[in-house]
Amino acid sequence: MSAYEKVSTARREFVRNSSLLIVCQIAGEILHISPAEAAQRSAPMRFFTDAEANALALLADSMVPGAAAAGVVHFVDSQLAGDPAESLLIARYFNVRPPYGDFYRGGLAALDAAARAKHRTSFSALRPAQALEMAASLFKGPPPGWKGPPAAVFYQCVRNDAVDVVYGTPAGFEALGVPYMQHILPPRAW
Amino acid sequence: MRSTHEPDVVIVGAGAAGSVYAAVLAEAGKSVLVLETGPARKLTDLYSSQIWARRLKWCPPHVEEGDSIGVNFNTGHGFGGAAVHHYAVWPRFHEDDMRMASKWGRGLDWPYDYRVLRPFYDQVQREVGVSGDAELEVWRPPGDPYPLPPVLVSNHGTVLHDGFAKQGLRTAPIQWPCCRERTTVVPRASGTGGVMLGVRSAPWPTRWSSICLELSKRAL
Repeated sequence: MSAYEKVSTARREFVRNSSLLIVCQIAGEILHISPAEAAQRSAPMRFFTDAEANALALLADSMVPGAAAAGVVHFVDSQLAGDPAESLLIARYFNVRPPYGDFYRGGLAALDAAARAKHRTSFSALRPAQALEMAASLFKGPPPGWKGPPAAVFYQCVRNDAVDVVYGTPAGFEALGVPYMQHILPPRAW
Repeated sequence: MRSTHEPDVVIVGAGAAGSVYAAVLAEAGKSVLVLETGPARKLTDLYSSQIWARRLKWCPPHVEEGDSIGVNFNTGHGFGGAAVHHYAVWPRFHEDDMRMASKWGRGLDWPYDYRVLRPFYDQVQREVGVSGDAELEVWRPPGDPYPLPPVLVSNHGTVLHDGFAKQGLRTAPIQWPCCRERTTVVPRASGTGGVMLGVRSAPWPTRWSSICLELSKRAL
């Protein structure tokens, strides 16, 4: 094996082993799998209802294409099901008051109510273009009658969750062509 | 841990201030007991990951003042305190900042003015090592020049400088607590990267490590 091949292989190994793993229970078996694999295998939610999960997937995917397939819903769900002191969510950084589940649940409920007021259907039933328009409007201010956490903060948190899952890993850095420059790799090699 | 030893000094809080006090006293031969209510930290907890570094951030309870504005934003907690994971930008208060109530009718006045505080700013920057360009900071209140030269301005800093200059406004390199004279690169993967490389001051790597070293010497 040439020196180039060794470096290339080592890099592929690093990227392959450096995705976030979350805990899922599928068919009675406890598994540590990536959010993307959890989404692909439709692992059951630990915190969200199915309706909330569908709405979050559409919202995050409208902000960062590919977020749903990358497993953003399973990532957020796994964090909300755990201890807030161990949470990796950006909500913690943005000074959201724990438990963070109240923040997401309140935001998704308010978003659903806004969709029903404007389009007479649930948010998760919107067409992608309609979802994108509503997502973008959150950043400009709360829709009329909004009863949830500050709309712009909710927007910012969900968008950042999506960025975390799609681009926040060493694999994401690799895809962007940005050197990760790690010194201490985190547990489970995020 | 049970001990019958009576320390010379007890310090409550292993944060940015308590850590420096403890290190200075220990290096002077005093026995120091430091009490810290937050989680213990290891140097290996300072991961090169902006995402995992969020675990170093404050967790409840919130501390709030006035209009429900939380004051825990972006602070670390536990061993190392607020500065265990920080941006490390250390400007001085302006003289007017200490007279907000009498000058602007907002907040509270300090019980003393900047002249009383100044020698301690100078002492801290000597103790910790702060870089910057005092001459470019025309807005800086009186004080000793920075003990370390400024860090190199990044590309986006240069863009911001050019934009400000077009508006007739001035910029200066940030006031950065750092441990080396020639800091040229700050790793982009994480705010903890600069700490781990020893180019950014933080109480745990830069002060606690000196205490641990002192203790290990004495054990020998």
